[in-house]
Amino acid sequence: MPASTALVNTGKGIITSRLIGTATAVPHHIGWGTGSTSVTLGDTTLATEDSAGSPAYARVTGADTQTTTTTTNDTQTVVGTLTSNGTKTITECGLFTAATSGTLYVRAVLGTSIAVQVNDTIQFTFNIQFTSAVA
Amino acid sequence: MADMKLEPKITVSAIIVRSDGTIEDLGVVAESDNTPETVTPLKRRD
Repeated sequence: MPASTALVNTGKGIITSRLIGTATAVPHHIGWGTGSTSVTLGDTTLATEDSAGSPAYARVTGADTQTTTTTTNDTQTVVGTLTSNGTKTITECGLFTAATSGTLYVRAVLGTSIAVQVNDTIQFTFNIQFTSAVA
Repeated sequence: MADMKLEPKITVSAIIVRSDGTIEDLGVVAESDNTPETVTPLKRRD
């Protein structure tokens, strides 16, 4: 599977802002889209965030937990489920600081596009593991 | 994609639940490339 997700540049600002206690919202609003432009660190939005169908598309607020991948609590996990309001093919998703607009934290282009019909749901789980090393 | 080889390590997993109740666990659908950059030494020219 090719590299297809990253903590984008604006996401770094979210982390440092929250570490120093300034008012930046939790980046747990999950959105999906139909764009497939490769992920770059300069991304600030999804390539083509969903806007079609009725009832209107809306991001979902994910559930946040600290989890352990390698060392205790080294991973931020966000889990949320989006429901399709029509026939579409989902090719990207991301985490934002708000239900609308907001700041992009993580963008992902899916290795496998997902065709959905009305009332199909996709539960996304984002695992962001922070690591460090001593040279 | 060279600028993607940075921490943190990210994976995105997906589970589809169809409107008829069918569940499709797609596993990891996106992951970051955290492969360290490799440096190839220059060959000595005699």
